[in-house]
Amino acid sequence: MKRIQYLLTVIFLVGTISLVFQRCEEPDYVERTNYEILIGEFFEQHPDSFSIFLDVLKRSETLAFLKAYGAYTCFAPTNEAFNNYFASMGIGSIEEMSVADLKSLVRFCVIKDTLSSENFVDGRMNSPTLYGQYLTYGTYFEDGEIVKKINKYAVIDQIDIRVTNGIIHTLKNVLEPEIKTISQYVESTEGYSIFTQALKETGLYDSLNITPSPERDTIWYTFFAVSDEILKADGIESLDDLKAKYQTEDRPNGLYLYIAYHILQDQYHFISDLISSKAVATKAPSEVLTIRTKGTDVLINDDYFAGIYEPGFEIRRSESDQTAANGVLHFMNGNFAIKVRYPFAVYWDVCDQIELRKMPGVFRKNGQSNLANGTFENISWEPEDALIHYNANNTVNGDNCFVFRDWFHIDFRPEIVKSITLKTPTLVKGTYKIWVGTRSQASSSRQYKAYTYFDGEQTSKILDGAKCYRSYGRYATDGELNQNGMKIYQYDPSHYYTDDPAMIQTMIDNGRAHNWLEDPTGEWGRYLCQDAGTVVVNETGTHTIQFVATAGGNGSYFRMDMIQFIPVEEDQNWPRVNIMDGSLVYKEDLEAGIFPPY
Amino acid sequence: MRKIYRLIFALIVFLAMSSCNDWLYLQPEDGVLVDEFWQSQADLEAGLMGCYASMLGNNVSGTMSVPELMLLWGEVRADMLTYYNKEVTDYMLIWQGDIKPTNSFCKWSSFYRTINYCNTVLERGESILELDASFTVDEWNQYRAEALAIRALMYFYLTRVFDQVPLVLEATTNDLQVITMPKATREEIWAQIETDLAEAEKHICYSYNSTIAEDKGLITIYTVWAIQADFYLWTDNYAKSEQACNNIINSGKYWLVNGDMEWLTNLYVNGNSPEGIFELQFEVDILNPYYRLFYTDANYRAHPDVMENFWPTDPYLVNADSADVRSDRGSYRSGMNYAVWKYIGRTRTDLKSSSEAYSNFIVYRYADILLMKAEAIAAQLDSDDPVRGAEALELIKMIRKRANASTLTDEGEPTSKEALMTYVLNERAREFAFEGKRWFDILRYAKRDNYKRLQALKNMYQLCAPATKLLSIQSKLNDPDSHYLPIPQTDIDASNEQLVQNPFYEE
Repeated sequence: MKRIQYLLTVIFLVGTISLVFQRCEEPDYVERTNYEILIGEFFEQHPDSFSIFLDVLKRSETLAFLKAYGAYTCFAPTNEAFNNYFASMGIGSIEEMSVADLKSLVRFCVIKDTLSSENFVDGRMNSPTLYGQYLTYGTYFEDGEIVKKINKYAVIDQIDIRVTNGIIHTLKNVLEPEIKTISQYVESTEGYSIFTQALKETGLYDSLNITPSPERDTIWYTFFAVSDEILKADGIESLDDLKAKYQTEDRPNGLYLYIAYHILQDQYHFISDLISSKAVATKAPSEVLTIRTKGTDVLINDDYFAGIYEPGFEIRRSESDQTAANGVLHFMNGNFAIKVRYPFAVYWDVCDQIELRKMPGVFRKNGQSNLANGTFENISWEPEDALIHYNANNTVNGDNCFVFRDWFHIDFRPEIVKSITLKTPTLVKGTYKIWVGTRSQASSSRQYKAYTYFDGEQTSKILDGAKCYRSYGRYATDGELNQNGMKIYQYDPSHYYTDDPAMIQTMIDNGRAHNWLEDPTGEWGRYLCQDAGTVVVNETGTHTIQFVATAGGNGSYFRMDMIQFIPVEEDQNWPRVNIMDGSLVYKEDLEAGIFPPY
Repeated sequence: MRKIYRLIFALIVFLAMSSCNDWLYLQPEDGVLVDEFWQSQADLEAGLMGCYASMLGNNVSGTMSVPELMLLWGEVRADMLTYYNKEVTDYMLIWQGDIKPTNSFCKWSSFYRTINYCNTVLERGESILELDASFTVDEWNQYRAEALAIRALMYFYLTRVFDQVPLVLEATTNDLQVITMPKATREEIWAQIETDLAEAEKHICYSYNSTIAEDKGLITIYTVWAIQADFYLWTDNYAKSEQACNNIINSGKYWLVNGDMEWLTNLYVNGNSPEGIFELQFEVDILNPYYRLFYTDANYRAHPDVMENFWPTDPYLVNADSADVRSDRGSYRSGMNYAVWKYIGRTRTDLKSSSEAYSNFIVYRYADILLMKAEAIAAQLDSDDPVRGAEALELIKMIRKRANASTLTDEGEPTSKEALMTYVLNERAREFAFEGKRWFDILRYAKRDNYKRLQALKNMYQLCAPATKLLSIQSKLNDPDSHYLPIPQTDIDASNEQLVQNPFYEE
């Protein structure tokens, strides 16, 4: 009995307490797991604006997937947009359109990704439409209002309507897939007759005239078209003029190369892609275009080549980013062509990076700075969170024989910095020997051993942080050094300078006898270039060189000063580099008594 | 047994009561109990100090504090800052030109809280005159002037950032500061600021005759003039702006600190220098938020290309420290990934520790007055006026000489309106780098004479904006409404349709 009473008490208590506690909460009687609607449902709920689009979805049997869970972005034309579209097509209603046409219309409106306005850039969307082509976006200022447009003509009405399975943007115009190929587009655009003829003459017209179809893999192209007017300004008024200019006796296929240089194959590159890729390979074998921005201008081949500025050619942004069935077209404001270049030696002071130049308190100023990944556009290293150092001036004991007395100081071993990758300056097609200028630590088993990779391919030589030439009293000849995979790459003007005419001959004699080195017992034997292998450069442009540490202990420092690329047919030892100002010092000058001042 | 039941029942009732939060307690927990509190002069003074204290931080939860926003509102939409890591999403969105009403930089609650504190002081003061016999009318006028000036400063920030905002002039007891009022027009807000400043000018003191920190940390007549100079410049009232600057200059009370190796330490780190006019007084126990922004969290850093643009590298300079004192190791530190050095450096070479982050935030300093005067003169020039032009140029040169500015940034000897205004704009960028002025400076420059120089605003983004967004950003700037931040969405939602969004941001 007592137990029952106890039980009742407990039940009473629990009941009362739970009742009392409930008082404070709003009762909620609507039972549904989700209050949000789906893309398809949104159109059903707004028939006044989207009844036609809804009808299109139903007729093309595509409504179902927009009412299913997923992640879509839908660009939905309003009823008004459809009515205008029908009027322009000369049809009464969608009943006059085939199901296949409706299907492609819908597939062109939907992207299988959720793209809100923050993801739109001045250019293409991140993902293609279900149709396969990309849509582009742009913000314009027209008649005192900000207008946002898709593919340059479809005005966005409402942006970023978020629903459960994606995002809806509504449009005041109907989007239509582009059906002309690049070739057809160029041909049908007024003022591009010379380019059209050249495309046909070279046979490239047919390559750019393949409409994508489900039966085969699509090859996407990017094409840079130059108008007759622009060519005329360059003195080219006909196809014959174009041939005369670019098809010479030593370049019998010059016209083909010229047109191919305007084509990017397998690259669907809108301007936003060009901006971020910076350099792109063209259909002309081993020929590259560089892309640079100046403010809002996008320029092709705006480069410094061997220290000389070569102005670039502007892409007309207002008309470019023109989608075609098999790619995208850009229209040029200038006529660019392949430049014929010959290989030349590159004496690359690796610390001369634009980012360091912008640090007046650091660049070539005494001290050590820690640098994190991301500091440089052209240098990166692994692991991501490791630091490398930039050192300048006499902070190493002994003579500082680095060019400009600065170097990258890298704790180079698999545990600390295991690899470093650099983008080279422009190298012209050819075969080069790579020399890496460092300071080594003689006979130390702790020093790094590193592989060199050029464009991802390993070279035949291994860098050795312990490799020195200690000749103890003898002055090594270039031949001896080369035999051991080394060379002296720098010249210290303080060693042989004289302004006393009577002393010049003595200096010349000493220099010859000593191979223009200073005291061989000093530090000189430790500052030298190591042979890092011979590589074939197939494309004129920038390349990557990577060093990967395979061994090394505490204190294994890779002190990187210079990397030299010297064509194999040229003298590998001379000229040397003046450590004070980076200028080149020729043996002939020294032997004639012309010493660089210091 | 019955007793137990009764006990249990009582317990249930007690539990039930407490389960509903403060069921029977009707007084707000988050506001000041007006009638109990405001009894004497001491209470009023405490209230006034509360106005100042609210400008030091202690933000309304979920929003940024006043000192953070004073700096960031002036920088995040301009060119000199950039992101450090890509995690500051709301800043990234502003940086790439996608500003929405949900962006946390739009939340103004901290400012309205300070305004509310001022309104409370202004409302209660009169009654304390009756309650506290020792409290004189003169003392009340001084308090009132301070509160009016702070409120004017707050509205001046709000109107520059949002253009039109609700003009709340009555105290509320709610601390969450949800504004349920419609916006006032720009003219109404400007008129209120002008009236408040004029009223403050009449009664505010010249000095508190106590510590230097009080004269720089509390509102004095010089602060009021400084706000007026800035306000009249913004509202295109150049003669009045120049007059306000002259009032300060002629007082002889302020001068520029030396632009030597101690410049950073004297002006910023130690603060309250002879140059400072109004500084937010941080203390050992009230640390400023800037060390966190620029070092601990490292949300922001200086934009390398923009730094290079304003302080071009001088290849002939052997010693970096002989360069413009405001460049590397002054405003920023290139060797530390372009950290904003002004707030984290103890000296030109040494980093502060986090516990040393109590440097003041300088709202107005003498250099600002000199350059505002130069700008006011330049803006008044109708045609080439060599005499007045030279007067403005002289002021710019004073600033440049102090800073040891590089010849590479010397813009010569211009005396025309356009050239002088551009020179002032560029010099202000260098002088007040990261001091929360840049955006207001360039917008003021762009909008003057009916948006005659809008292109300058667009050009600013060429160096700093992402290349793939630049065209869109520039197109949007054609709409002047886009120059102001959207009204926070939370306030719109809570306002019962009283608050209307800036048309640019309406979907």
